[in-house]
Amino acid sequence: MAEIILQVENVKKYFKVGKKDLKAVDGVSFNLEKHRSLGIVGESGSGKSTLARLILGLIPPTEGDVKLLGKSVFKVTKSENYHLRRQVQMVFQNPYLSLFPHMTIGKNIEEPLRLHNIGTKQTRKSIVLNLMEQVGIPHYYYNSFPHELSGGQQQRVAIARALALEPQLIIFDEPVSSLDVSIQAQILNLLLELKKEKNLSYIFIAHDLAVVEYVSDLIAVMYLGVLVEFAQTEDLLNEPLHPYTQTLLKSVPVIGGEILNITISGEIPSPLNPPSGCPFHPRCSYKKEICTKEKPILKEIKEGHSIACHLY
Amino acid sequence: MEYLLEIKNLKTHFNTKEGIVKAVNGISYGLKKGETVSIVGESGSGKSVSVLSIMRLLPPYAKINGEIIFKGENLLTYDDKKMRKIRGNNISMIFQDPMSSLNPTIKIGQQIMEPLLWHHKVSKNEARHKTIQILTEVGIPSAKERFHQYPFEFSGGMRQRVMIAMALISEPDLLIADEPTTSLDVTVQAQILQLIRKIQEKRGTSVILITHNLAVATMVSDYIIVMYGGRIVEKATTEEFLKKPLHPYTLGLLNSIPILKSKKSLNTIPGQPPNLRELEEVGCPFAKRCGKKMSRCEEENPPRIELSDTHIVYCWLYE
Repeated sequence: MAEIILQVENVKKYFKVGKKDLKAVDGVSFNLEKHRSLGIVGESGSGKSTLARLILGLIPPTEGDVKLLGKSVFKVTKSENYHLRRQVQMVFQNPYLSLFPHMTIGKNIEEPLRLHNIGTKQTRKSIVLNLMEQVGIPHYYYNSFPHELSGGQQQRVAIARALALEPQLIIFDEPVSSLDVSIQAQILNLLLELKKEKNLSYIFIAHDLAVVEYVSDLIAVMYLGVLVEFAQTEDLLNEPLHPYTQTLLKSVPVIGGEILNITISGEIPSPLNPPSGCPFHPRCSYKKEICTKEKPILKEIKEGHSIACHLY
Repeated sequence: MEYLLEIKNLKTHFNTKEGIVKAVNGISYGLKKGETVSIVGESGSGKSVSVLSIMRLLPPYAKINGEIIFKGENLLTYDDKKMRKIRGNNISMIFQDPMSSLNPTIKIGQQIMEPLLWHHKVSKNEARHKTIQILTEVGIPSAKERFHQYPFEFSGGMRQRVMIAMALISEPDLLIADEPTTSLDVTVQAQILQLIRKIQEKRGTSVILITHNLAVATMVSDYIIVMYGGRIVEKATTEEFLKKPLHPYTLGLLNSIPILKSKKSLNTIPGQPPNLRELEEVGCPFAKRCGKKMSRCEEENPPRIELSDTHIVYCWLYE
């Protein structure tokens, strides 16, 4: 069996809002093997970005644990954390906001190297130029500032910066959703190339299923803080089992398609006021009595295909 | 049939300190009653500015030239006072972000009936009655109670329904929707698209839909216009567009969209969209990124090639 890079163990994150708990992530567990890419899809408010921040150890969990290369990201000592952090990097949706506007492109990419005391000034520069080449940013931008670049180019810089410390895992949070389609395709192809070349593992968060399919080996579907389905990309798309995944797939606009009479109504409920039982039951057309009372747990019903639904 | 709206050689330029931004560079199209046309293109293609020019919702330093014939009259000859009688009355518009287009301090019901009262169409009582009716029509449950609520009490999809209600209450001839579903989740997007089409069929409203999503465009419209660098590069019925897309940019766009379960690898269009300040007056705006560029592409404007009455492409390849 392949080595496991990431273990997420029943992790929960509740935020206090007034006297209530906002259950952003409510018990998520999965393992990710090395060199694989996991896509996480879900609508706004499903908790996918909070999950990413938990995996990075940026926020403490309310419950549960996240292990990176076997070590808990929440329980490590400061110096251990320093080394662990090198193994996982993140790329965000808005590249302009995630780059330092007062630093040149070169300095932006160099920053993680400097913080980790890697190389001398000279060797760092050659590393940076090399990274710029890998992500397709011409060398003459070395002394330019982020605002002089287009959105697609800025995202390439953010990717170069994430690669600087040679991490094993990169988390992408909606990396292409602010980009035009022709640029989006360029970035997606770049991500596939880099993954192959450098043997990386990815967690790829997006709301666009077609984009997720393009880069992921596995897909996890999130709804109101829980995983409702988890499977190999092909299995999930060809044989979606959870009613929510099925409607999600039907809702994706298709070129030349018809507007179907979608059976789903309403929107994702507020995580401050989650429904009892299965979080999807108010919108589900296969609802049974048990669904309103008992929360289904994620279980494997076929090899590598898990769902959380009382129907199975 | 007569055109409801006919755009002739529309040019919109902005005079800025750094030079002239040529956002729209001579576009022409017509729209009949009850038809839906989608204008697709990437950021900077001029798609939004072209419709804001129709509504004249642009800053004073914008120079609009050409003709915008609406119901037989050129809107560009109208002064501000006359234009105000058109907006929200004959032509309505909905925007991408419903939260920033609604007034957060005014109750939903008040905001929806504003166009009716402003244009002195009905009495206050009647307006209230009509508002509740239309709220129900756009799928907002318990409309009577919702009438007295504020925008923050509505979810994103519900707010967009409110915007649609507001746009339609004065029964306009033309509805302009600028990326109406872009900020919504897919399941909600499907609901809103369904709603727009249902209402259009019922009322016979003409619709201009601005979108970057080609799939959405093909699903809801009769015609598709593809814009690039402020010009129309291709115009066709949706059927023709699906069967035989021709312009290299259209083809590039179609090949760079990931399609669910297709397993195709994405071909990319090299380079970046053009800088609208540096656009050349002559030549095809797409030439720099085009794989099929010929020498004349940068020297002469591309010809207008009519493949059928409805399918037009601006490209030397098809001469």
